[in-house]
Amino acid sequence: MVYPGKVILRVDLSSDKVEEEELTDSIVEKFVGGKGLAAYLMYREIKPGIDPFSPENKLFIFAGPLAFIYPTFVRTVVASKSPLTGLFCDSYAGGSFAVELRRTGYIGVVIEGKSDKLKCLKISKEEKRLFECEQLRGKTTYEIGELFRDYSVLTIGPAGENKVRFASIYIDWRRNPITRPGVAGRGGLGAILGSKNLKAIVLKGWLRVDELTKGIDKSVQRNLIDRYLKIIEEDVMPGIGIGGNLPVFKVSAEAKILPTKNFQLGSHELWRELADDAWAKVLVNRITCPTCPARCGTTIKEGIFMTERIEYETVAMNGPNILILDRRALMLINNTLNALGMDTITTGNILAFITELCERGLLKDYKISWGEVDSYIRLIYDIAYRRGLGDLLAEGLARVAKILNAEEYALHVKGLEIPAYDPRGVVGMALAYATADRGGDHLRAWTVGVEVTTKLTLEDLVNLTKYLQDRNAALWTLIACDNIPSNAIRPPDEMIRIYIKMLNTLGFNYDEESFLKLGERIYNLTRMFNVREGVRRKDDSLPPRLHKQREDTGWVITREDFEKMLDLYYSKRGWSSDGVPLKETLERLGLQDL
Amino acid sequence: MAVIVRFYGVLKEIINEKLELEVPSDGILFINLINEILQKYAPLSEYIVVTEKGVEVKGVTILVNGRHIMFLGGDKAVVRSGDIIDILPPLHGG
Repeated sequence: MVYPGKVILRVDLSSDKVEEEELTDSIVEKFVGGKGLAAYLMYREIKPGIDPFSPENKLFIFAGPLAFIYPTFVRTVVASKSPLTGLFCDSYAGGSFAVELRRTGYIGVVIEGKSDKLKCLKISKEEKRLFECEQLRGKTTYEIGELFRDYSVLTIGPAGENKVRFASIYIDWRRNPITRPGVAGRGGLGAILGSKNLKAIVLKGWLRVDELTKGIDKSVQRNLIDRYLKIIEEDVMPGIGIGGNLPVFKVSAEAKILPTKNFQLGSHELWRELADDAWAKVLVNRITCPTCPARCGTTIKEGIFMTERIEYETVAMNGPNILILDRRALMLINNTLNALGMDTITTGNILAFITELCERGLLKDYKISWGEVDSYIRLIYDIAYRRGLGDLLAEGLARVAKILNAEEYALHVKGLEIPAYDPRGVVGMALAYATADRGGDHLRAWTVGVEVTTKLTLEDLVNLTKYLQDRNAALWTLIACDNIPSNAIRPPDEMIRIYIKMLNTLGFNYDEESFLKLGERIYNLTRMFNVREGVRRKDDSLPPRLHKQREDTGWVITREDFEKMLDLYYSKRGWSSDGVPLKETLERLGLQDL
Repeated sequence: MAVIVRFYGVLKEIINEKLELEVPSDGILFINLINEILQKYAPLSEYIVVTEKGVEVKGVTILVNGRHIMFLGGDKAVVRSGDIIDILPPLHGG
């Protein structure tokens, strides 16, 4: 096997040990890299029922095997038992970390144990060691990125240190960044680093590309790169628009699936203020991840306000969903959340939830009204530093809603707050949200794109959902950028065939069928992780609000319709009627030893 | 009364925001209604087509009176006067 990425670095915060470990060929062949290896190790090493904040929990940080060798495979996956959901969680970030990690010769880093003091991990040719960094306590993500400007930096902000259950992990955040900063936003994995007292990993690789590609036929490699770049130029670049997925805003607003006022409505009359055309007028720079030509990272400047990486989800959830239609306010919120280190989707959901409770008179001793930017900013700081009501909200929407007996106003699935597409309009996303392995998520199965032609039948929708979940699980072993297939203006079939050929140049032996089966294996593995934690059919559910007719359009997903989707989905997956993978399904996928 | 068909997003650029189509008193099969619309608005076939397999879509969502057409019988659903059909475009990104 040519594949040079079989070595991981194990870092034990309890003992300060930093040790190399070589994975076996059979495991690498079966799970490849990225999400696959992270899911495999998670299932094997994380004991069921543990507290996500306990030293026994582990954080898995992986690159894909193609990083640095082929363009655009720049994303890093972080995976752990989520403090928000108590379930499997994987979250992905762009930036330079995956490329630099591959240049160290490691495919992943496993973080375990817990330190008594705040520490950083440094990985370079000269040293791999933990060092105390108490002086960095309380620093923002930008400050850490700036302090280690010569390194690729993976870090948390104050919210992560304070174990806010939706704290994120940040890569390369700094002023005037050269490469696109990345965020592993979802599921609170920044709080896992905080619980272990690990503030940052700073990394500088040293291997050259030819040292990673010994044994690869260079002409085949060149040909694949050329074909792939041509597809990106012709099919992907036109869909990127000004970047940040901002073109989606207009489509969502016009299709009336834009969350507005805590998902009570599907659009707002002033939506054009936040559409991509409006942002384009104040766009001052576009930057990209290493090796990627797409330049999807936006830098916006308007008056004294400047922000990086303004994204559709951030704008929608912290814009119309809390009745803010002002770009400068959005920039301020984006900067604050990214500096303190919290998920913008979850935060937008929580701010909307708490405002609706106030409006309905259901919250005593606290007042906030729709669109109050200053109040929202204060509340964001209170959450990050766990002060007053912020301390409660830092527990995440599901816990807060339960405590306040207000679950009918909370928009989450399995504890993960849902993203910015109202599935009462785009019904396919309802099944996608309900069956996503990390909770309310839209990326596992983007059923509303032009990727696949379907009939208007339940069976076609269910097949599409399953296919996309499996395909994306396979792609996230590599780790391909989500922006590239999902922004393509044509089905990405040829692109994926090229990915498989790229993988095979490293000594793997996949074809389209076995690659899809790889994804199915991983999706069942993560399901088994969740089943072991108690997940069953009752948890594959939608927030109550989505089962009620929306007042502006009358759109609804009835409980009966939803259960029909779920029945057929389980059947297609080879799961029991209670959502547990059957023995024969596990055997077919080579997971019989679980 | 007629069937009202409402189009959203990019689909409004092909067809007006709203069509009102007269249908027989006992209604019309959904597939036949789509055929009628496609005959008048050919560019819509970029997103919706009718083949021997029935109505096929690329990322398009179709709701009848607020519920997805697949729950109402799909191609064979009968659409009646007064019904409201919403046709949503595919999305890019995510």
